[in-house]
Amino acid sequence: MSAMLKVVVVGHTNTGKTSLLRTLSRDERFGEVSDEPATTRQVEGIQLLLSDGEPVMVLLDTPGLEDPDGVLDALDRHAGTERFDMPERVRRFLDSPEATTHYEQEAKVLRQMLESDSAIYVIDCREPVLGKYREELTILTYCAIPVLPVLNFVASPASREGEWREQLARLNLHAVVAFDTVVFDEAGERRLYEKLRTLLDAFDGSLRRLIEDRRQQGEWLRRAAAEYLAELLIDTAGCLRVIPGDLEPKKLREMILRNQDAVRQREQRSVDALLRLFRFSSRHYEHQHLPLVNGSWGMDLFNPDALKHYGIRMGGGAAAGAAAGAAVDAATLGVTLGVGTLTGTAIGALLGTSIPLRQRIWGRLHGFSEWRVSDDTLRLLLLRQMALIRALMQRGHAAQAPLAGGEATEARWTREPLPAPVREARLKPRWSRLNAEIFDPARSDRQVAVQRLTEEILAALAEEEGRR
Amino acid sequence: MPTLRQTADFAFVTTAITPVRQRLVAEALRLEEDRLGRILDDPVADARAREAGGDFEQRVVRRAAETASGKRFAATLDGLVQIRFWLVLLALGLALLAGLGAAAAVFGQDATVNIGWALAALLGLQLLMLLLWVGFTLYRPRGGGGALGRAALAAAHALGRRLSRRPDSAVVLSASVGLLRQGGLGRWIASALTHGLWAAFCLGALVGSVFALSVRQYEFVWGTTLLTEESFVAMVGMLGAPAQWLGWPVPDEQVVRASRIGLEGAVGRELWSGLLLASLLFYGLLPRTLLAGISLLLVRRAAGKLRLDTSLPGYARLSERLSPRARSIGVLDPRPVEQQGPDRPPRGRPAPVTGVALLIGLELERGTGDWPPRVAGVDWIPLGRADDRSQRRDVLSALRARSEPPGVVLVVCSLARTPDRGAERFFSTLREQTHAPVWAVLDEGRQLAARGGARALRVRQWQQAGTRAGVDYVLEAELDDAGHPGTRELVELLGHAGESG
Repeated sequence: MSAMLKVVVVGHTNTGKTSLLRTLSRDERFGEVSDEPATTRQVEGIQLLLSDGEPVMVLLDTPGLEDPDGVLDALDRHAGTERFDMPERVRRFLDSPEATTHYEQEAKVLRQMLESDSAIYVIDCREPVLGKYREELTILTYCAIPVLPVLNFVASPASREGEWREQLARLNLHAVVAFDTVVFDEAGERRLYEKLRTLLDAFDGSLRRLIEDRRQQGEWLRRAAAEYLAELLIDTAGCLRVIPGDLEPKKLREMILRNQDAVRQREQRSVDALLRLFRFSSRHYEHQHLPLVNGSWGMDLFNPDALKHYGIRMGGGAAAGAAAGAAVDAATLGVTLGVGTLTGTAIGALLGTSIPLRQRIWGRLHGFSEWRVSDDTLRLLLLRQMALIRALMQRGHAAQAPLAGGEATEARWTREPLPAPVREARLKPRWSRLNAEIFDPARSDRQVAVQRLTEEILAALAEEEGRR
Repeated sequence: MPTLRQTADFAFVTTAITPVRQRLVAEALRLEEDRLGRILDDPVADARAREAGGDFEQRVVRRAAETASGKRFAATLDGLVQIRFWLVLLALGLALLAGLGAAAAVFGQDATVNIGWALAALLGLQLLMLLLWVGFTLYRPRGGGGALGRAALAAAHALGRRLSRRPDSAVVLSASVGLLRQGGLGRWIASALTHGLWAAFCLGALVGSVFALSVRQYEFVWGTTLLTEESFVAMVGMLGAPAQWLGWPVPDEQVVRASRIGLEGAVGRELWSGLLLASLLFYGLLPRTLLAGISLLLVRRAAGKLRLDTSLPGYARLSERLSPRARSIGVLDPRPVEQQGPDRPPRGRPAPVTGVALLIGLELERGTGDWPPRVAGVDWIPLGRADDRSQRRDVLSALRARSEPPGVVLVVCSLARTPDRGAERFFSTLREQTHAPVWAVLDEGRQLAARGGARALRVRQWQQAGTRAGVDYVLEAELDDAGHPGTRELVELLGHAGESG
């Protein structure tokens, strides 16, 4: 192939051209986006790369078209009496003084149109199909390159997608694609590239590779996210602290708070990692009071209200907690504190730890107790991290609204028992990074458990997507 | 000692060492990050890896080499390779000694040597192991590699862990265990080591035998209880075949029959010793050396083909850092120098209007049934909607066609629209076409609210656009809501319109 595919992104002012580029390039810092007219006043380019770094396509961000009416008048004036074809007329207009003064913005767009292989016309489909949009499309067709209308904001309740599709068909534009830059949809992105493929025969190969590459990336991303969550759950489930039983209440409280902090930090690490994985910077969100920055989601992990928010009944967890040799006590801030309740299962739990059995039984006899994260808290952790992953999967890189913790739509683990690998991790303190002194990452049973849990999470995510 | 380092590299049985070494470091870094549960932050290393380019695996390898931990692992690895080099050398020396010892045991103080016994002692075990190796390599290609070599590798591994006191050695060693499993690399290294050790053993035996046969005189005899004489003759013929083929004298049938225990007189000492040495060479040293060489070639091939499994989550997570999805190519056409329009002072609330109020609808969402809007107490003459080119022309010519000058021209705009230069130009044209004041009425705020737009911001944008275009007054009103303060203001301002006109 001689030259790289060059696609210019055009559209009326404030329809989301820069947003489209941000979302396609997964770069939330590209250009400037605001709800103002004419935010982009320059032509800026970005190359889309395959994972091996090979560039396959250039996308050009352009200023918005604002006065198609005037441009049409000018084009008519420059047509004169001679008979030019349409691109030549556009060229004449670009050479005229008007193109550097009043229609400077439109001229920038048309100049790029003449040098590109194709154009993507971004439509805010909450707008009615106004005359000016039809006029813009008329001007664009003068440039004699294929134009692909992209309907932005299709996920909005005010969307008039049907109306637009009908009108575009009347303008002889039949290849139309719906792609919301704020509510990201992997299938929508693929459709966009597929449509470009049908319009651009010469670039079939590179577009096909791009499509395949993005599909693989999507799979990778989901798997990596599920793995992060699996690691977080295994680490938290296995977290174990031994607490002397004769501590005075103030000291005990301090100790528990310290332990809780360790778990919170572990969650925050996972959140940061997920944001980075999906190429969102938490720094970027700080200004918008993102609820999950710096250790809390607005609702603290150990806050009983957070449990209610995710529809977790405390009772269900209590039974499971008792089975693990401990009792849920809301007074101890939602953590499980097995105070001397040495049941049969607890002995099983003891055997799994590296603190020598002898020493631990001795500890029990001398009034030591164990601190673990309760089943309810684990459930909360699982549910809200799932909600975060889903929110990130559906978030376009142009989204400006703060990232909310997400509504609890996860039905699967609200009531059902926790996934088996998590329950197993309960009895395996060696699996937990939070028990730094005995943690052993090379254990193959831990790796197997993480893999199994990852698969379960992936299945739940796929199920969720299927329902949507 | 660069030469030593090179030899050490060679002892790690690959000349394609660098790619393997780099990948080992990357694998060790992955295990380390796995242990920590987070990716080590090193923006410089990430940037270098991105700049270096190449496919994802190359970037991962490059990043690992650039990080501080990676450099530490590389140093540890070098130390381990050296230790391993000395260990392999030691093992080879021990094998050589074992060969010498075997020869010494065969050629003891006794002046008579039993041919069959001597051959079995010097070659028997070695040949049996070779058969086993062939069997394993053919039937269980995944395992195998030779018990001796594997044992030696395991020993080197265990010793390396002991001898290298660095805390990183454990990580590097487990990385190498994981990586060596791939593509048969470990198997061929073990094979090379197995054959190398046996070759050293055979060399020792050969040297020992040559020495013993050179300085002492032995009688070679043989005997059998169970087998026939013919089978022994045939066996000697078979053993001697390669040597005979090369023109080396070997005992013929008569000599063999004459050497049987119990017959008088020793015959063919040189011939027998020649056969013994030839057998050691052709059935011991040469095949083992050859196989060691082939194994080394296969090690090189496997090392060349070795790739990190980048589908492992530990690597997949790096994708965000190492392979950007896009690269900015910068600004192709810069933004224009901002033209500062003439600053008009903001106009205050105008006086009530006398005269006809003309109404123009600009890009409204209301249907034709709702046009013109009806507001109680106000009378206006609709000029039409100005949504596209022809409509705007019609509206403007209708304005020009009016004989008497109007009191005010009202342009109803939709807050759902973003003001653009097209709208501004329409305002300007209106201003040129009439002497009457032009007011913009911002309607349809509800439609904006329905899509979650910020009303105050949008109103400000329209006010700015109006100011630029010379609009006399910008007013926010919900025309369908009589109670809206803007609508009430409009009623107050226009209440007398038409009365005097």
